[in-house]
Amino acid sequence: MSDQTKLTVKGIGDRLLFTCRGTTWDECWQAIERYITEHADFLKNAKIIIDVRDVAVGSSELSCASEYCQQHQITISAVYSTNSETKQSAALLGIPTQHAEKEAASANKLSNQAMDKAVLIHRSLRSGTLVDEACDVVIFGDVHAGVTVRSDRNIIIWGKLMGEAHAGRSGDTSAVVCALELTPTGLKIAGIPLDSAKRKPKEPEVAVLDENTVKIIPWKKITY
Amino acid sequence: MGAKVITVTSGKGGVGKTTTTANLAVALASLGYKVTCMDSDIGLRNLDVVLGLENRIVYDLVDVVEGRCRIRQAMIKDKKFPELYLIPAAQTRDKSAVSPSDMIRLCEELKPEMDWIIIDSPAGIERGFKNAIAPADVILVITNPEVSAVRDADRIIGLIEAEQKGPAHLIINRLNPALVKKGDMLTAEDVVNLLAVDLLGIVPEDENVVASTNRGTPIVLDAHSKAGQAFMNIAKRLNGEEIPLMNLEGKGNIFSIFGKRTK
Repeated sequence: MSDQTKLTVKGIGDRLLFTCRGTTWDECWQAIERYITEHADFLKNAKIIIDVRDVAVGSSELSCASEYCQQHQITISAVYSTNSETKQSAALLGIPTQHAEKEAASANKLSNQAMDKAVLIHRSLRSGTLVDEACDVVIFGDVHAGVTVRSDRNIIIWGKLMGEAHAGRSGDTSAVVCALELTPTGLKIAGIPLDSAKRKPKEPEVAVLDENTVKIIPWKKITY
Repeated sequence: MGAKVITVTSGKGGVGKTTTTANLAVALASLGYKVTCMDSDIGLRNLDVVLGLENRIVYDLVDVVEGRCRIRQAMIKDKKFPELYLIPAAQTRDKSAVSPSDMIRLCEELKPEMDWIIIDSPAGIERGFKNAIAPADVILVITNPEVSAVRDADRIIGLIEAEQKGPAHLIINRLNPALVKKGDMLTAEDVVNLLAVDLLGIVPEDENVVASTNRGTPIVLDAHSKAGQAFMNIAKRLNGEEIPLMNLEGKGNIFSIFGKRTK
C-alpha cells in the first residue's frame, strides 16, 4: 500500500482530517510525516485531526508526533480512535479524543450506543489530562486539579475529584457526577455550573441537577 | 558499570532546580564519586554561577553537540573536588540547538567515566524539558509547598509517566516549619498526598542558601546548615542509604516515612 492510499486528507471546518489506513502506527506516521514534509507551507498554522481508527498509539509515540507537528507550526487538535490505548495516550497529552462536530453528525447513533457503554480508567489522572467521552466515564483513581473530564453521560469517580467535571454535556439533565471525595475546581451538569464554594466532604457524594441548580447530596440517599 | 543519570526538573520556575542540582553534585562528589553535572537550560544558563565556575567557561553543551569540541574539552573541573565537572549550557542559543537524541548520545559517552551524571532541566514542559529527561535513569521533581508549584509538579509527573520514565521521586524545597505550624503553608504530607509519588527529601527554608548561591559555594558544604544537611541526606538516599527524614523542628523525627533507595 502506498502512502497515498494509507492517508486521506480532507477539510472539516477550519481543520484538516487526516484519516490513516495503516495497520500500525509506524505505517500511519510514515504517511503523515511524508505528507507534512511535502506540504509544509500549506500546513503552516493548520489544526489537524488524526484518525487512526483501531491502531494502538503509545503516549511517547504521540508525544513525538505532536512535537514534530509543533516544529512545523501544526497543531494536533484531536485524535480519533476506537483503540483504548490510543485514547488514553491522547488524554495523557491533553489532546481531545472526540470532537463536537463528529458527535453532532451522529448524535442519535452515539447517544443510543453510549447508553450501553462506559469507559473505564484504572489510574489517577494528573494535571493536564483531558478525558472527553460520549459514554459513561468510570475512573478508579483520583482526578487531580488541572484535569478536565467531560461526558455526555455520567461521571463516576472511585477516588477524589479535585479537577473539573462536566456530565451530561449534550444536555442530559439526568446525568450525575459521583466521587468518594467531591472537591472539584469546577463542576457542571448539562452546562449548568455548581456554585463554587470550598467544601470538606466527609462521605461519598453525588452531584445532581435539581430544578436547574446543581446540588450535592450524600451518596447513601440516592435510590435508583 | 556506567554512571547513573539523574534529571532534576520541576515544571514551575524558581523552585530550586539549579540549587538542588549543584548541591547534589557537590554532595556526591564529597562522598568520593565522579560526578558531571550538565546544564540543559540553553539560553538561560546559571548552574555555572551557583557552582562558582562562570569564569572558566570556554566551550559549552551546544559546542559539543555541533562538533566544535570534544566532550572532555567542555567539562569544567570544580575548584574543590577534582572529580566534579560541569558542562555548561550555551547562553546565546535556544533549546532547539539540542535534541533528545543528542542528550542520550552525550550521556552514553560520559557514562563509562563517571559515577553520576546530574542534568539540570529548564522550567516548562517544552523541548528543553524533553531534552533533559531523555537520558534519565532517575527523575527528581522539585516543588515548593505552594499550590501553584504542586500543580505544575503534578503536570510534570504525568508527562514523565507518559514518556514511560517514571516513577518520579519528589523533593520538597523551601519548607518553612513555622508557617506550616501556623497553618499558612502546605505540609509535606499534604504535598505527598496531592502528588502521590515517593518522597526523597525535604529541604527547609534557609536564608543562607541565597548567600551561598551568590558566592558560588553550595550550601551542602556548610555542615551547620539544615538545608545543607538535607541535601547531603538526599544524596545519600540516592546512593541507596536509608536515612530518615530530618527533624525540622528540633525534636526527634517528625515523619515516620523513610527516604527510598534508588540505587
